[in-house]
Amino acid sequence: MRPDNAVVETIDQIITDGVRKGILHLYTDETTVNGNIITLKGKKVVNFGSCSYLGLEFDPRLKEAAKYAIDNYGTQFSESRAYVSINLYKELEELFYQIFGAPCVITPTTTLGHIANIPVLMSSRDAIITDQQVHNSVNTAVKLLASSGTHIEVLRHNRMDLLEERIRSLREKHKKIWYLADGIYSMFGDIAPVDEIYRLLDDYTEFYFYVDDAHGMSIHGKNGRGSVLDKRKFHSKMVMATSLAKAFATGGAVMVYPNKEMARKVRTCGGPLITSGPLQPSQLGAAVAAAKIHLTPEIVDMQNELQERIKFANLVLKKYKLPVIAENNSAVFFIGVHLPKVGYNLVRRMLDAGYYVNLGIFPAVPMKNTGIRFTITRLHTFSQIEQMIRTMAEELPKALAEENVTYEDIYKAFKIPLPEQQSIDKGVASVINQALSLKLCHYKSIREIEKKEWDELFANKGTFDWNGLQLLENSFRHNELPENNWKFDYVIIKNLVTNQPVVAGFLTTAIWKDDMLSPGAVSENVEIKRLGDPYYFTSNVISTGSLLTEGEHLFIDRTSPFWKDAMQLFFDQVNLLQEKHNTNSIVLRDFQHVDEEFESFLIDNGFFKISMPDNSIVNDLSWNDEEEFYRSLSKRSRQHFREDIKKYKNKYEVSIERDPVEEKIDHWYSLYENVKNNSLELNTFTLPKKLFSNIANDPSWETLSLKLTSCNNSLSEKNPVEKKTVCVVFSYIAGDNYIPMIIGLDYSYNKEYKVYRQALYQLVMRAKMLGKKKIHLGFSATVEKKKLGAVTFPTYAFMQIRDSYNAEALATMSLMGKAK
Amino acid sequence: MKFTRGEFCQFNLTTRFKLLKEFGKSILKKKINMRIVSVYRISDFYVEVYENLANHELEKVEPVKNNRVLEVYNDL
Repeated sequence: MRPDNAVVETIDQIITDGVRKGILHLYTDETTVNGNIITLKGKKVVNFGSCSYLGLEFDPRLKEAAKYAIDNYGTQFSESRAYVSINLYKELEELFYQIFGAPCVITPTTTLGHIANIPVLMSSRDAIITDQQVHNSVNTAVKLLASSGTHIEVLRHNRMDLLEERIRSLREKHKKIWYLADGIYSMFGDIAPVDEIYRLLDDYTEFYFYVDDAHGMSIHGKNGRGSVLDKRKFHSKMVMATSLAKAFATGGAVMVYPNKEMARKVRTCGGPLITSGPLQPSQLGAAVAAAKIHLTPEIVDMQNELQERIKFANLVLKKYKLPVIAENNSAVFFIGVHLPKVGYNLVRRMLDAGYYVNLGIFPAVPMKNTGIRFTITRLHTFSQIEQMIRTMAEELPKALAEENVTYEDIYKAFKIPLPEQQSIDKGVASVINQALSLKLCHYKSIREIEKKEWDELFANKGTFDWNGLQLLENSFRHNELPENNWKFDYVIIKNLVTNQPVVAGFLTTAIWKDDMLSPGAVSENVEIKRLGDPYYFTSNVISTGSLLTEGEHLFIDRTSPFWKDAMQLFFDQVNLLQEKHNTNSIVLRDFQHVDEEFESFLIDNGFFKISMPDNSIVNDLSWNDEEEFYRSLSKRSRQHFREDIKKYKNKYEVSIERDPVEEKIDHWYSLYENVKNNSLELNTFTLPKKLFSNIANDPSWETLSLKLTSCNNSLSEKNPVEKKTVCVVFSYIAGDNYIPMIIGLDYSYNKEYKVYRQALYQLVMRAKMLGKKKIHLGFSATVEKKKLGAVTFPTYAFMQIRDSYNAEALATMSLMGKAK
Repeated sequence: MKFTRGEFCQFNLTTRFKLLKEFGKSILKKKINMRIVSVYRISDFYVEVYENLANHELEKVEPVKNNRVLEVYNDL
C-alpha cells in the first residue's frame, strides 16, 4: 500500500487524539522530581513509564559528578569531536572498555550512533536484513543506505529459520549479510533469540549481527553489559549499540565493536561524530560515575533487586489474568487491549486511579495490537506493583465494556489462545446492540435483497446497483482460478423503530496482490517472482466494494443518532466474516469526504488511513455541442484538444457494439490484456474472460469501440479477426452516470494516432449524447483526464492488517526503488 | 493479594522480607540471643524471620511447617 502523507496524517490524528484526551504530551507539575511519584494535571500518580530501570538517576554519586563536571567544564564544551573532546570522554571510553571488554565509541544519542555506524560499516556490496520489529532509529539509519543501492529486506520478527534461508540465498551475491535487531524489543518487551543468532554467526562466515540493546543495558549481564552479552562473549562479527539514557540514567549512547579498527573507522568517518555537537560535560560526568558503579559488585545487587520486582510483576499479572503479550525477565511489559479506543480509555482510567502507564499505539505497534506498556524499576515497591496491576485488572473489563470490545477480540488480535475463564464476556456486544434497537441483516447474494431496497441506497453511485452486482456475482463465481472466485457479503443495519437503514454496503473477499498500489518498479520485481509462484506476495482481503467497482460503497446515514453504533455492528460483522473467510486485511474503500469525527472514529476502531489514487470525474456536461465543450476547456487543454484529439478524430470510426460474436470478444479481451499488462501502477490479477461475455450481453453495459479507418500499417494483416478495432471501452450506465470501467488498447497505434486520448474524448461525447450528467473516469491517468475537463478527487481507504510483514517488505522494496 | 507458599519461596530472602512488610502482618517479635526472631502472617501461612543483630543480615525467611510456631515462641 502506498502510505504517502496518509501515514503522517494517521499518526497526527492518533497522537492529537491522545493529547486531547489528556494522556499524551504531558508535563509534570512539580518543580522537583525525586522518586517514582509524579504529579500530572494536579494528580499524584505512580510513574510506571520510566526506562531508568535501576533508579540511578537519583543516586547522589551521579548527581554530584554531574555538578562537578559543570563546575569544571561549563555546561557545554562546544566543539566537534573531530577536533577536540574533553578528557571525560577518554575516561568514559576507557571505563566502557572495561565493562564490555571491547572497543567503544560514545555518541550523543543511540539514533545518532546508528547514523554514525550503519553507513560506515555496511556497504553497497552487503545485504541488510532488518527484523520486522527492530527499533525505528535503526531503520532511520538504514534508509540512508538505500541511495547507495544496498540490498535491504525485512525479516519476519525473530524467525531464525527464515533468516538462515535468506543467508544461504544472499551469500552468493553479497560480501556481508547483516541482520539488524533489538536485544530487547521496546514495545512488547520480547527478546531476540541471541543463542540462535550466535550459531548462525559461527556457521556462516558472511553473516554479521548489528544489535540495539538499549533496554538491556545495565539491568542484565556482568557489569551491566546488557541482555545480549548476558553469559556470552562479544562475538567477533557483532556490533552493538546501547543507550545510556535508560537504566544507565545519564545521556548519550555507546557503540561497541569487535575490534579497534572498526571503532576507529566509525570514530573517524561516522557523520554525527564529525558534524554533531558532543555530549554535555554534566552527562559525561554522571556517566563516569555510573560506569564506576557498574564496575563494582553493587550493580549485581541492583540487578537482583530489579529482577525480583520483574518476577513479582509476572506473578501478579498471572494471578490477575491480564493478557500479557510476552513473559520474560525484561523490565518492559505489554498488556494487549486490541483497539486504540480501549487503550485511550484504559490509560485515562489508570491515571484517574493514580497510575501513569504508556499507551502502546500505532506506529510503534500495529493498529489492532494497541496495548498498555508499562515498565518496572528498582524504585517501585512491591505493593505499588501489586496495586497497579490489580487496578488494571479491575479497570480493563470496564474499558472493554464501554468500548464494546471483548477479551476474545484481544486474544484473537494478538494470536494468543483465549484462557477459558475469559470467554464469558462474549455476549456483551449483542446485549448492547439489542438495547440500541438496531437490526443487522446479512445476505450472501444480491438476489436475497429486494431490488428496490438496494437501489434506493446505491442507484446512481456506481456499478454496484442491483443489476451491476448480479453481473459481478455471475462473473466471479465458479471460475477455474482462485483469484477469480470472490465471496460476496451484503450487510444492512436498520433502525428497528423507523425500519430505515443506518449503515449498508457490500463486501467481497478475494485474493489481492499486496503490491496493488506499490510503485510500478516494485511490482515489476514482484511479477518476476510470480512467474514461479503466482501467489507470491498476495493476500486474502475482505473489502467494501470490489476490485471492479469504484465509488461510495458504504452507505452511512450520518444524521442518525445511532450511526456509530451501527458502524460498530458493521465492524463486528466484518470481523466475523474475516474469521470465516480467513482474510489478512479489511479494507473500507473509496471515501472522498473524510471529516475529523469520522476519521477519529475509524482510527479508534483500529483502522489506518491510506491514500488511494485520485478519482477523476467529469461533472459538467452542461455544454451543448463540441464547440461549446471546446470553449469550456482551459487554454492549455484547448491546445491539447486541437493537436491530440481533433486532428485525429476523422481517422476513427466510433461505434457501440451490440451482440458480438465470440471471436470479437476474444479480440477485445486481448486488447484488455494489453492494458492490464502495461498497468503495473494498479497491479491486479487478470479479469476472467467470462466477465467480458457477460458484459457484452448485459443491457446495463455498453461497449464502445474505436476503429482506425486508415493508417500507415496494414491492420488486416495484423489482426484478421477484428480488423480495425484498436480500442474498446466497457461502460456501465446507471441513472445520470456514465461509468467507463474497463479499457482495451492496441498500443502499437497509440503513439501515432493518440488512441487513448481519442477514447477519452469519445466517452465524453457518448455520455453527453445519452443525456448523462456525470462521467466517472476512475483512477490513474489523471493528467489526461483533466485535459478533458475532469476534476480529480483525493480518495482514501481505511485498512486493518493482521500480519503486516508483506506490506513492510514491499515498503522496503519501494524505498530501494526510489533511491535507485 | 494471596500468595501460595511456593510462590513466596520463589523470591530471595530480602524480597521475602519486603513482601512480609508490605503484604503481611507482624504477629510476634522477640530478641533471642543475638537475633531478632519474628513471625509474620501472609495469605494463609506463617513465616519465620531471623535477623542477625551482629551483622544485620537476614538469616532465615521461611514459611513454617508447623502452625503451632506461635505457641512455641510464646512459651520462650
